[in-house]
Amino acid sequence: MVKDTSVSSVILDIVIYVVLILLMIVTLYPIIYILSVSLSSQAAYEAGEVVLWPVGINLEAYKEVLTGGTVPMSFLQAVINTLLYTVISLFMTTTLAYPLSRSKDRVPFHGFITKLVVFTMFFTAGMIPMYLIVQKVGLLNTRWALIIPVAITTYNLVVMRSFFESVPVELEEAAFIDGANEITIFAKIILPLSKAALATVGLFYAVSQWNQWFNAMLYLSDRVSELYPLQYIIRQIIMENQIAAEAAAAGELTQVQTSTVQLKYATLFVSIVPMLCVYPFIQKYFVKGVMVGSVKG
Amino acid sequence: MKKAVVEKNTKTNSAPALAAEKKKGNWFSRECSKFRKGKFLVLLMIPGIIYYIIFHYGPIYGLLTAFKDYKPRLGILGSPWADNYGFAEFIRFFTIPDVWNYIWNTIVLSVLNIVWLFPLAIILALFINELRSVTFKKVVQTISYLPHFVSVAAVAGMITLFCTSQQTSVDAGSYANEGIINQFLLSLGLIDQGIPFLSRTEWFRTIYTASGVWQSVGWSAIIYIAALSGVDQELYEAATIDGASRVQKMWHISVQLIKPTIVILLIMQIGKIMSLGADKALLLQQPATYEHSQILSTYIYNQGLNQGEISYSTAVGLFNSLLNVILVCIANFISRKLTDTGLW
Repeated sequence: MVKDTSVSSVILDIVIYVVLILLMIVTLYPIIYILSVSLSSQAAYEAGEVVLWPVGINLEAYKEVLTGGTVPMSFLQAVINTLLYTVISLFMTTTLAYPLSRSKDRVPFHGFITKLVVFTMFFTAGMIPMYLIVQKVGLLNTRWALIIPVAITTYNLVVMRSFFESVPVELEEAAFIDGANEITIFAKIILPLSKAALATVGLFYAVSQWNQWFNAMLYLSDRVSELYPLQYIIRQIIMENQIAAEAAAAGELTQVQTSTVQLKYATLFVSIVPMLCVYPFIQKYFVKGVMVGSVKG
Repeated sequence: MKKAVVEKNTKTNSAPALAAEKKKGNWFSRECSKFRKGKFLVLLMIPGIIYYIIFHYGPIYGLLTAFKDYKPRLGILGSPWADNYGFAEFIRFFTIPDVWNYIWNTIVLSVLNIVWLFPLAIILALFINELRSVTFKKVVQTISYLPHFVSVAAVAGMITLFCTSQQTSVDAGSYANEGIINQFLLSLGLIDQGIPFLSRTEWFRTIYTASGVWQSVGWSAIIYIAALSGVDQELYEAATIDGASRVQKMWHISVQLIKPTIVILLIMQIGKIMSLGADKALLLQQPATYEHSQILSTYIYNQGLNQGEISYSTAVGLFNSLLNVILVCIANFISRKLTDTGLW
């Protein structure tokens, strides 16, 4: 592009840079602040001294979070759920998306099944009938309640199908002529060519499970609190605060006993940090998935 | 090459199946005739199809509950039909005065989200598109995606901790029970007493929308950035020669070229107005703010799972789902008329 050095162009550049730098600050500040409070001393926080960097370094909160029972346990649960979910969902999505991406002449009821699947994108029965089904099949209060009922996301299925459709038909035809059967074609040609697609959809599933809390609230009761995933523990911190706020609003003078501010911030940070470390490396797959989904969806 | 495949396939077909294939009218037997050659593909689909039947069509069957007087002991089929030809729960729903408020709240939160997020995402994309430094562009994009990967629970946790207040007065000396926002306002002397924002009805919509924008503005810009990167650079060069300023080029070239994308996404967003999920509102709401924070989906949750009103909340859910379908159809129709593209 021809370089423009007029005054208006320079002003535009200044505006753009200022806005984008502000955006970056607004995005990063809350995360940095959470880390800073969790590392600061109680006294510094109470005096309102923690603004950006930690004041009076104090690792007690992390010691408490990491040795206490709840957070490490829920972290472990979240890791197990994410791994199981990714494997199961990827398997089920691939096995359904592949036949649906093939020619109509080869798959019985191709059009009917496609309609059946796409219909669920527009009409869902809702939360309560789903709850009744989960209860009926006996998944309630088990780990599987967080995995099986959401095993396939129709959006991801459509993304996967589009990826498979982009594999050239000629490759398959050539293999057919060489005497390969459907199984060989799927396992030896299609799957190896779809590694990027598998990574994209697999990461979609992994991130959604890691960030999931709502189903844990719906399907897991207090009796199985050892199954609570990490994100659900965050909600309990929130509830603690709300109870305190309501007590204050009601004018109750007795202080509600809550854990220290540092402990809450440390828990929050622990829940964010894995994604924070991973996302710069996986974002390109997400961007690609969004593009495929928007073209097809 | 194709011929060879066709011949091979024809050979494997049995004679009656072929005959059925010729009879154009018989869809069912024609589909069945494909079973033989598509054995492996059928096998592959089984887990997925079973999943869809149980967890998507099972709940649709479960919608019967809405027309019944559901008793857990008796099951869905065993429970007696509700009064008024099965519509008792629907009638009940529409005679509750607060219902219109919940519907209104759902619309307001969705519309606020569209009104703020849409223009901001477009502006962000236009700005990023103007950057010449590739490194800076990458840094801005990567950082702007960050909040998308933070869970809703964590975002709500942040908001709760930042906004918390036990109404400490300004001269208390210690702000231990105040979140950062109140600490800041108190230390500047802007308020006399900490404000518990989350317990204040008038703040709910602001908090909900602002956090939504924070979480998705960078992510929503992706699609526009991609559309802009495909623009032919010659268009810009020609405009430069004609003496167009950069702002003019942004408006007359960039914006015009992503207009179809904007229109489609906007229409689709409008189609989703009534399908606002319960999760974030549930995390941020308190009984004190129900007047603004109770939306249809949180109402369904509260009625169904906290109050045990299974039939009633299913009926409300069915009403909500039907509204969603109607809205999506309207959105699709408009999109087809205006842009020739739609969901179907």
